[in-house]
Amino acid sequence: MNEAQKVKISGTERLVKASSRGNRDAFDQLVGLYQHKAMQVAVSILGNADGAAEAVQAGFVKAYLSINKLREPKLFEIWLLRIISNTAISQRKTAKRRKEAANTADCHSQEISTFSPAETADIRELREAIQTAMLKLSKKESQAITLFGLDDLSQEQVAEIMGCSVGAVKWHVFRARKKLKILLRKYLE
Amino acid sequence: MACVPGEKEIEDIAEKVSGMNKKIDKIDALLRRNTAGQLAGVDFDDLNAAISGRLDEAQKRKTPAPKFIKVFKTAAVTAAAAAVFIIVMVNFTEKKGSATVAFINPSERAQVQVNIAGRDISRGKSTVKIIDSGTARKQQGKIRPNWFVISRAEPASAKNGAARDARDIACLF
Repeated sequence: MNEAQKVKISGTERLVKASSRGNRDAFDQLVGLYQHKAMQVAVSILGNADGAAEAVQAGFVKAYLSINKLREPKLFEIWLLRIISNTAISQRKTAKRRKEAANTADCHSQEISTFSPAETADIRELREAIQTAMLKLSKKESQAITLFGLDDLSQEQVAEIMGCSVGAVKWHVFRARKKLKILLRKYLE
Repeated sequence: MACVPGEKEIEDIAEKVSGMNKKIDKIDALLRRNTAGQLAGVDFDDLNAAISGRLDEAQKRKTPAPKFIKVFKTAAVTAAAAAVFIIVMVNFTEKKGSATVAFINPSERAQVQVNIAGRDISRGKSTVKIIDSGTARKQQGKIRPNWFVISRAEPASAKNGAARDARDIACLF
């Protein structure tokens, strides 16, 4: 662990303790510190930014309402990512319905409008393919491959978030990769 | 759902499969590109504001909750105490029996049959002694009630038992 990470953790601990005492400003600072990572996890699981934003908002509200139950402030990040990933997983049904809705394509139009029409179509196709593929994974597989992909989380931390052994995490990642390689083989060539 | 194999088996698989120790796999690279692309389009200021709005709502809902819970807890405790009290009263207070009396042989040494509605008190026959307390008034053509004393022998256990009071009956006619 480098010096910057240590400073971040001690700062987080202080903010978590203050939040537990009902300090709303402290929790707002925690939101600012972790919203990017939370979105990264939710986008990976759900495959689209709109659903992910909804999951992140709901996740932060859950965290806020139960932060006084967190016994070890230094484990805030793991605890928060568990809440966010579980919330995103539980919203996968909604994501499936949303994907099936006719206006799905319009959701991304603004965001990728800087590309040429051909590029835009390619990006949209790839996103939809990834989203479809991710929704075909089991909950554990989806959670494992997403968290495994985060650079600053160790395998032990991923296992702790998922509530299983490191071996089980590896197994879920292995199976997820195998499935995704089949489902997305067209885009891997 | 896929069955998760044992630790040893997993370690073997992990060793055989490339990219299991955080090495970037082709599929990981594709997922990362997709996630990064989508995150690039996210307005985090908007997201922050949306989270803040949701937290405000949650805070409003959270504040009155403890008061409500306190009132609810007090009400629940009171109701539970009342229920316990009622159960205790019903079970441990001696039921007051009502008695019906029928004459079997109306004479000076008559017997009456007394039926008492009460716990573990069954019907029984008792000797009746009539105390004539109204002779003078009868002669004057006036009616005055007489005293009837009904006595019944009972075993010591019943005499000293919990239902002894209900068994001691005096009937006034």
